[in-house]
Amino acid sequence: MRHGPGNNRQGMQVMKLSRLWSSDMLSAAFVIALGLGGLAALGNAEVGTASEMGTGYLPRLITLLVLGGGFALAVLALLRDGEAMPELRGKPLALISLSIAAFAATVDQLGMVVAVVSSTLIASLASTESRWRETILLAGGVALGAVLVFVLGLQMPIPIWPR
Amino acid sequence: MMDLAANIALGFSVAATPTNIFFCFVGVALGTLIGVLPGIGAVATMSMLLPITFHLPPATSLIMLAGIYYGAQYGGSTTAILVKLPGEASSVATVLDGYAMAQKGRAGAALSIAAIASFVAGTIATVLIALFGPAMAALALKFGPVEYFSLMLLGLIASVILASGSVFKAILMIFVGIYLGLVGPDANSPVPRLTFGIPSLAEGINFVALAVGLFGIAEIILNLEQKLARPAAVALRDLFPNREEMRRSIGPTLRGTAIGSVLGVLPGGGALLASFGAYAIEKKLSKNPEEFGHGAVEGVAAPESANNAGAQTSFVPLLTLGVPSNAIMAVMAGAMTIQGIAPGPKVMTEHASLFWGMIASMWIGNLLLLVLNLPLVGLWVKLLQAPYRLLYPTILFFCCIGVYSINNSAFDVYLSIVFGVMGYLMIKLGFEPTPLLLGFILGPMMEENLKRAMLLSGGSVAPFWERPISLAMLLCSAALLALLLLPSFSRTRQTALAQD
Repeated sequence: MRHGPGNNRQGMQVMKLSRLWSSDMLSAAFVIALGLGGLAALGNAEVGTASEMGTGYLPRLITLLVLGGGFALAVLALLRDGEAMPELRGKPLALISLSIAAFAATVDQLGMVVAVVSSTLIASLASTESRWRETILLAGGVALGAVLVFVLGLQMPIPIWPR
Repeated sequence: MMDLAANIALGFSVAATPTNIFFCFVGVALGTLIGVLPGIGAVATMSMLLPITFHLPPATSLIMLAGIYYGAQYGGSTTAILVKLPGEASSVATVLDGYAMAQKGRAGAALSIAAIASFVAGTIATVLIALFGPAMAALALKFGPVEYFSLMLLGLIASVILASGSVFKAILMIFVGIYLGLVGPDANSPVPRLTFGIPSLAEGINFVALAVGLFGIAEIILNLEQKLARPAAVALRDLFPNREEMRRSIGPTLRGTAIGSVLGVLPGGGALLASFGAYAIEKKLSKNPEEFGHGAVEGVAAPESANNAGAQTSFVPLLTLGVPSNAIMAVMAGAMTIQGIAPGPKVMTEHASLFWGMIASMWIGNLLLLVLNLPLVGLWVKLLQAPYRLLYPTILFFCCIGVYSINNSAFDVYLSIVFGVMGYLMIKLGFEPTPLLLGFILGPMMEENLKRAMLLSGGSVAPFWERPISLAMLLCSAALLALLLLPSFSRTRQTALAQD
């Protein structure tokens, strides 16, 4: 989806706004965020010199390159028309993340069955095609299989029921 | 030649034990399954299963993982031919003529040709690895830190060629991957670095959490955003190709094998590049190029033999140089590290039975695929009809349990969410995950070699171009970069990689 240059003034304004709110600009923001994260993680790690590199030498160099790349992407995004903002739908993203978090939060203390059933139920909400009866059967089936294979079979140190 | 025979005999003595044949079968069957199923790939599956392979002996676990890789390609070409849905990227080239053949009622013949071409290619590639592998390992033993650094640089730059989309973005992802790889332990410092003080990161970022997040979880989220099309399968009539089809496949199969074997060894190469390369060359060589895309049997035999040969020879850089050339090999490197085996030239001498056992198992695996899977095509097609609403919660469970079980750590599972979200954004914004994964694996190795090289030279970078092997690899890297920046090449690359 490319935006051609506008002919009238209104078109020009839309075009400029689209450059600030575009796929390229979000890409730049994504890379800059990663770079800033890297910079934050660096802390006060010792940098050293090229002949005797400290623990922070290469990480710092890379972070600066990533940040530079991010700013370059931002400048390019301002200079040219790129793709429009991709459609980001929050629902599957949030529900799948939540489903995995439910597994992680419950597996140690509440055991395999609770972890599998809760994560499967939450995950099923992410699809518009899910049907309740089917989902419950699926959750039960996966939980049963998980207990048989991973807890009883492979002897993983996960309780079956809440301890 | 005596050595070769002895080595291959050693290989078969390892690979042909009942246990190893069984796990080879498990691998190829599982691989075919995920190759057929939409929305889950070989990288994610192999990563999830890494913790389970921990319970197996090294040779057995690597045999099973390798089986998943070429099994997935087999399954991918099955769906490419029958429903125009390439299960794996390496079967994209097969879709063009395979599906066209299927529409003409030659689906069975296309499947058989694909299987036979793969098997022939696999057999020849096995022999080639056995012939040239030791020579490469011997060369690698002469490598110092300077050569290793340059080689890994070349590998990373080559991986950019395969990344679809922006070269610049792919290079940035390499950097991000290297950085993530550097988190945690540092050989020269007692204190873990870049961890935000989180104790769970002191041992570094868990490879499985990263790979499952980027390749497994992100894929599920993306699939849920769009409705997966489920085209009806073509009916299967007779399974056997006729004499004419067989005759026309011989040349393309042999050429495809040659192209695939060479492209597979190159850094950044592997099955994907090989299949496109072979398809393009057959089209150029053909007397009737207009038949291509309308059911030319050459257009099935060439990419299928090439991707199988490339898949096998891409093990060579990993096993002889210790440098993984694509995402799958990065997972294999992870598997070897878990088993306490450092990938590199010493694998062949110190773990000779493992090396040759794996090579032999590839041949056995291809035989299993040929013998067991052609009759089972009907079953795979039925599985393809399984609704995604039942599949993805199950896949998600395997993601969770796989990540959790590597350290019995809930923290790693949370970490995989972070990488899942990151992978989702990356794909939405046109950043390829493969360069990141390679950077993650190669980053720490590059840092170590760079540090050693600089220490030896007293801070001078001159050895990097004064030593001939290193110079050659740096020149190759520079040439690749220059090539990538050429507008005409980048256009060709875009069209080659964007045929879906």
